[in-house]
Parts: sequence; C-alpha cells; structure tokens
Amino acid sequence: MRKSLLVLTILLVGVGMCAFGQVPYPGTLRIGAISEAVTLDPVNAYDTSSGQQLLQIYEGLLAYAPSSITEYVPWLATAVPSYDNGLVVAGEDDFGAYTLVTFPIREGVYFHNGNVLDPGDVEYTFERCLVVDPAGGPQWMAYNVFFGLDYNSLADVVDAFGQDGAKQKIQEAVEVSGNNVTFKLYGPFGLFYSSLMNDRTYWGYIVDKAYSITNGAWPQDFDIELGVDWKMGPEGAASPLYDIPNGTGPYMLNLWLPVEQVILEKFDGYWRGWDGDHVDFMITFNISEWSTRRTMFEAGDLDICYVPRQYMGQLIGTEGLRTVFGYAAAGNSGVMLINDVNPESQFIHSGQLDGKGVPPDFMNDIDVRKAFHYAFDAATYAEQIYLGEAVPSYSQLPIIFGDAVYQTYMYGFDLEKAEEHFRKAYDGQLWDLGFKLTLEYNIGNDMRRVSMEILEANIESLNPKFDLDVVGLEWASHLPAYQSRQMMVYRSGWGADYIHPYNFIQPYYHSQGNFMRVQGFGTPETDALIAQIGLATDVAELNRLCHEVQLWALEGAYTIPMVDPTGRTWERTWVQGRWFHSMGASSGNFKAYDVWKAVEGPGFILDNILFPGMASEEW
Amino acid sequence: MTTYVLRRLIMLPIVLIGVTLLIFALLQLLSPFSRLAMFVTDPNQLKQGPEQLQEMVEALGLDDPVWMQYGRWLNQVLHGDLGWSESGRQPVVTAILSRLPGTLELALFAVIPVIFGGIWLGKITAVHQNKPLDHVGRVVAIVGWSFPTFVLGLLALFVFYGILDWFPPGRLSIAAARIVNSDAFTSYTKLLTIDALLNGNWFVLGDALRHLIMPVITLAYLSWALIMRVMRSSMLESMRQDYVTTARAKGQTERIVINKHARRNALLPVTTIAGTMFAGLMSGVVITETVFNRPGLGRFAASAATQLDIPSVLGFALFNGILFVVMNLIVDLLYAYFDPRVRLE
Repeated sequence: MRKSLLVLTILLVGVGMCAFGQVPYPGTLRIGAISEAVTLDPVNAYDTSSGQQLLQIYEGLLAYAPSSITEYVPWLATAVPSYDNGLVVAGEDDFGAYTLVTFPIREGVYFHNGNVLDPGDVEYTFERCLVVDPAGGPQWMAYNVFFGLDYNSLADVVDAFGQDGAKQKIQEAVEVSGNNVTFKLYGPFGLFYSSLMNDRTYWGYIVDKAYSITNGAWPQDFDIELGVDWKMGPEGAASPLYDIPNGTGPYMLNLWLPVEQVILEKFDGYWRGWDGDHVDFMITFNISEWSTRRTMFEAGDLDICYVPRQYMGQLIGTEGLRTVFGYAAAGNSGVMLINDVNPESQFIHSGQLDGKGVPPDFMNDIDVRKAFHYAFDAATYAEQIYLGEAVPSYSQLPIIFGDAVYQTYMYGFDLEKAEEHFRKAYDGQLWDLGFKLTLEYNIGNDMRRVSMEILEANIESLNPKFDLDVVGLEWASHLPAYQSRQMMVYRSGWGADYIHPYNFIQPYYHSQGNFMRVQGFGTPETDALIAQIGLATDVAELNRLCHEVQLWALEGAYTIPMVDPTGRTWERTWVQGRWFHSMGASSGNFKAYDVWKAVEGPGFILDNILFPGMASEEW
Repeated sequence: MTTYVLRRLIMLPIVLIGVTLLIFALLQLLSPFSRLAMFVTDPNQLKQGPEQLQEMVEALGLDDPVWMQYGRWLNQVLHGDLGWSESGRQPVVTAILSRLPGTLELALFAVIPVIFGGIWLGKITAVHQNKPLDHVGRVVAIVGWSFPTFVLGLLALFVFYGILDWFPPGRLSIAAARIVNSDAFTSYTKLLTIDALLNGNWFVLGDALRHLIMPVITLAYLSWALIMRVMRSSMLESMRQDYVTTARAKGQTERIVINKHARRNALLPVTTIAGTMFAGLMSGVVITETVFNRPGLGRFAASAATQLDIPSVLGFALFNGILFVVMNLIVDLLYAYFDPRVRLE
C-alpha cells in the first residue's frame, strides 16, 4: 500500500514537473480573457469578445492597409473599387443620388465546410444584414450607407417605403452580375468601406449562403411574412448560426465550452496558405478571477493575458513578460443613466419613490442626473486606478479627435453640489425618503467595478437613507440586460468602428444610437445635427457641430464621462509577430494568423506611424 | 429492515412534492411579467409593448389560477423543462447537467478523504484524549475550521502552482483536453477520472488527478476538521458508556472494544453530518471552483444569483432540494443499518 502511494506521488510530481522546453505548446496561442463571445453569428455580433473570435473565423471583402485608417487592400474581393478603376459610378434616380460600387469576387476561396465562395454568398450576406436587424446590433451602419444617415434601422426603411417597398429596396441594394457584386448606396460612400466592408467590421463578414440556409438561417425568401419588429430572423442565442460558424478565415471553431473556453483550430484549406510561421490553435480561456489569471500568466500557461490597469504593478519586472503601451485607444466608456427602465427590473427594487427603491423614470429628473455627475471623482480614478495612464474625459467623444472635442469640463467632483441637486430632486422628497438602487458593470472588469464602487460610496456618504449596491453581470448577460432596459445605471463603453467623430456621436447621442436608444433622452433636433456631422466635409463645421451636440449632452447630464486611457497590453516574450491596427487596438483584437511562438523573433510589431508613442518593455 | 426501507421510499415522493410546492410558491412571488423571462430565449422579446407582453402572459397561462399553473409547471418539470437560463444561455436543465460532472467529481474526491480521514482522526484523538496527539489534532482541526476557503485556495494556488508548478488550475491541460475532445476518447460519465479509466488512458487520468488535487485538498481540509471534531466528541461519549465497560470486562481486546463497540455507535452523528456535507459540497463550492477556475454548479448558481437569473436560481434550488432529500434518505437508511433501534421503531 505504502509502495503504491509512493509510486503515485512520484508519478504526479513527475507529471507536474514535466518540462515542455522553453516555449510551451508552441503551436497553440493561449489567451486569458475576462469575457466570452456573445455570438459567433456575424450579423448579430457587436462586441469585442465576439469580434476577437470572428476576426479569425470569417473575412470581409476588403482589409485595412497596414498603418493606415483610410487605405484598403483587397481581401475576398480582388480589387478595391474606386472612381479611378471604374468600379465606382455615381448616379441619380427618384429616391436621390446614389453610388454603384462593384466588387470582383476572389475565386478559389473555400469555406470551412469545403463550399466554394461565390458572389451569391456576398449578396446573401448583405441582404441578410439588412433583413435581420438585431436590436442594439451593428446593422445601423448598413442602413446609414445603403439608405442615408436618416436610416438607422429596418423599421426606418419600412416606415419610409412600406413593407413591400422596403423588400424591393433591399433586393436592389445588392445585385450579382457574373463574378461581380454591385452595391447601390444612397448613403455616404465615404463610410462604406470603413463601416461595413473591411477586416475589422465583423458584421459585414461573408457567410456561406447554402450552409446558412441549410441550418435554418434566413432563406433569402422575400415573400416571408415579416415577423416581430419587422425582423425576418431570430437573434442572439436563438440564431441558427450562433455557435456553428463557417467562414473563409484561417481558423475554424473546434470547441466552444460556454463560460469556459473557445478553441479555434487551423483551417487547412485556407486560401492564403500556411507558409511561414503560424500557430495551429487559438484557445481563449474565460478566467474572471484575477489571481488565477495572473498566476497562470506568470507560470507560462497563458501567452496573452488581460491585465486590469490597477494590478499591472504586480507584473512589472516579471521575467518572461512583455508589455506594449503608449498607443491611443480608439474607444472610451461612460456611466449610462437610463430614463425609463423596465418597471419589472430588479435593479430598481420597489420601483417606487418610497426609500426602498426608485421609480422607473427616476432619471427623468435632471437634478438626480446632475447629482450623479458631481459624485464621481474622475481625476482620482484616472490617477489611482489607471495609474496616470488616462485623463478625465470631457465628453463621450475621445480626446483623440482633438478639436472636435468640447474641451471644457462641465462637471467635476463636488459633493456639495451633488448634495444640492439631490436636495432639489423630486421637490425635496428624495432627500427625505432616500432611495435604493443597484448599479451594474460587467464581471471581470475590475476597473469598471471600482468606478461604480466610487460612485456608490460617494453618493451613500451624502445621506444615510441613500442605499446603493453594485452588481456585476457576465458580459453575455450584460449586453442583453441593458438592451432590454433592465439597468438604470450601468457602465459600458464604445470601441471605434471607424475613425470619425460620427462613430462616437451617433451611438452615444442619437436617439437610435446604441446607448441613447436605451437611455431615451434623444431628440429629433439633435438627431438632425448628428446627421450633419456624418456628412460634414469642412473641418471647422464638423467641429462646430460636434461641440453643439456635446454641449447638449453635457447640459442634459445623460452620461457620466469617465476617462480617456492610452492602451496597454501584456504577452509572454515568446509571442512573436502580434500587431494592432488602429481600429482594433485592444488586447484581443489581433489576427492569430500573424502570430507564432518562439524564443527569438521580432516580438510585438510596433506601429509608430499610427501610434507615435507606442513602445514596449520586456523582462 | 425491508419494511423500513419501503416506508422511507414511499415517503420520498411526498417530500419531493413538498419541495416543488415550496419552489413554486417562491416563483409565484414574481409577477407574471417577470415569469415571462423563463419562456423567452432572447431578452429582446421582452422589449415589446405592454399589449404584446400581456398577450404572451395570456398565451402562456401565467395569470391562470395558481393550481392550474402548478399543474402545468409540474408537468414541465417532470418533462425536464425548467425554463431558459439567461446567465448560461441555454435551457436550465442543460446548464445544470453540463456543469454537474465537474462538481460531482470534485465533491466525490473531496468527500472520501473527508469522511474516512475525519472519522479515523476523530477516533485516534478520542482514544488518546489529552495526550500530545489529541492536542495536535485539535489545533489542526481548529485551524482548518477557522481558515477561509479563499485564503487557503489562493495560498495553495500560489505555492503549488505559481512557485512549484505542480498542480495547475482548470480541469485538464491543453494536451489532455485535446485527447478528451477527440473522437478517440469516449465520455461515458463526463467524470474525467472515471472516463480516463474506462478508456484506459493513463495520461488523461494523471492529468485530471493533477488538476483535482489542490481543489480537493482545499475543500477537504475545511470539511474534514468538522467531521473530526464531531467524531472525537461522539467517540468520547461512546467510550464512557456501560456497554464499552462491559466489553472490556468480558476480556475483549482494546482494538475490538474501540472499533466494534465504541466506534460503530459513535458513527451515528457523523453519518448525519457526512450526508448533508456531501449535498453541501455539491452546491457550495463556489469559491473553490472560482479560485481553481473549474466550471461547476457552484459558480453557475452564484453567477445566476448575482445576475438575478430567476429561472436558473429556482432550477438550482429544485436540484439542490432533491439532492438534500435523497441524501437525507440515504442517511436515514444508514442510521437504520448502524442502529437497529431506529428500524424497530
């Protein structure tokens, strides 16, 4: 018995100490993340966690040229259409001026199931984008370019043309001719490539028509009776393509264990081939606990790891790690205040102004909103949580947009003013009765958690009858919860779809924008101004319009500005060849196809053209 | 004994119906609109206007008389339908069943050293009462009982993984996971160690055990302290009884007196604790699962609770209720085995 125990112990210790050589699992890239994909159906995906996977699985017709945010290279198309090469033609009809853009489709490209890419797949993809319009999803950009900036949803198109007219317009929007696909755009052509057609806009990735229809996706049948909310296909987890992706990208889905990990494996039939150095697998582990993630990263069991900024001091100087920093992050975040939440929401407790909850329209009182604004200490947050690698935001337009940003702080941390506004709210009743409210953030994002705890502590310090608590939701639950107006106060953020102020102004401030649609403070007058921002060609005019909209939003106190950070990412020194494009400058937004693992190599590929301050340090 | 077992088995469905009534009563505390969430797979469906929501409530019978709703709900439960889990993004039953093997394996591996180690140490310390062995055992038990799980778990993680790199978190290494997920490996039970044995794959077995050791020790150390203390007290109580003195007077060896006469009677309170402890391990291993990054029922339930995912919480409560009822039945049967007076009554 004792001998058996000894053998078992030696076996276990031996397995434990088994050395893999200097680079463990050289063919597998292992990522430690704090959230998992919400969906692997491109038409529904509009979050960075889903995008990280889709970027490896699917592809678009074009891709950004390296170190450029205005130039493109052909990808699944064989040319970048332009007026010069005759593939872009302007015209006019009863509806207005339009642009015809023709893409020759690349031949010899295979989907993961062996089907060959053809122009019909491209037509199907974009028609499906236009008929399956998920609430809070990305397709508003498709309506913007196909129909104009006044069109942000399928409902807008149906309102304008009626149901049959909308169907006809959608069919006319994408036409196949031989090996070409022609798009008819009534919206600004300037936004077409940047918002829909490139390698970072995963909502425009090409899907396999035959495979999609076989698996129950939209059958490309325009005679179908339109369903709820004018949609022709199910959304979210109910989408047939939710967890069975089939793209043309270099990696295909091997296994998705919900909440645990996503495994992608090399697609042997990839059209660009596999010459050179690559990894065969990419595994994304969902590890919300920082201590566990950190220990795995230090032990060499993760190659790339999400490190909350406030904990980075724990890793500085650790042998075998590399950090890349000093690059502009094309994104920001804010604390959203919702005007009219779902009365059944548990986040508002009693749902009454009785000291045990808040009414659903609590945030309709501007004094409440202003009090919340004054109760947040952004300067200390930037200094202590971001360790000085951020500045307080002026508004929801990131500082990278320079003069377009309204650069005056309207609110600062001032508890006296916060108290003053709370005392005025609800004609003084709120101060006497108190309230109870739950604030929300996405689990694993400790920086967001801390911001909500700061808000909680500061507001509670004003009045013992103010009772707030903070709850974290998993990312996959966070998104639908805010879209269905469950939360009254939550922290969320926006990563650029393309580099233009419109791409931030629209989601934050337009009544149909991703956030404002839920917040419910949008107005037709502001929407009109926002549409002008999208069309403005004169820089001074663009800046003036941006200032006007920001001023409106700040005076209304709809969203509490947080901070504008610079980016920082972490990886093991054996990771080689990773690089960011400006449009995806986050730790998860890179192409695994470009990466390999080796002791020697170029390390992280710095892009000092797009990011002059970008630098790396390793130990 | 047979009559006793039959009687207890007949009681089982009655108790289970009581459990379902309790769960259903909790469900009824929610408004019909809140209960709609159990029937939609996409929260956007809840964003429709009040009229459409009312239509859905009526179509699903959520405002029918309570007894009708209970009958319908019980029928759904019996058909394995506990609604949709928003936090798991799959049906509640699927979410629970997919996470059950991970937790069951952890609990099974933890409960064996807990029960047998705790009983053995409790007996030894009682026999050596007030001697150095007893003092050491009591101190270790008090330390174990008072040690927070997350502290022990994190310490174990840092030392045995971070420094020594012996026992990593998770359920399997990448190499073993590839084997388990391949066509060459058959998952009979979803318990990795058992399946590895059945497949004759020693590499996967070793790897699964390597990933189990630290969470098992973390769980076992804390629970083991309780069993040991109860066993020690019970053993001391037994050893003062007349039948133990009689056994000694009859000339029985000390070994037989302790193991046959004193220990068997001392096991009764331990049996009760062990049964509920196993059920508790099945549902209350949230921290261990989080620290060691093992997806399981504890993490699922905690996540559902913090996300106010009512169908998942109620589904888990039902599962837990059934588990406790079944464990209680097993404990009662063991009681009858250990103490004939119970079945005679």
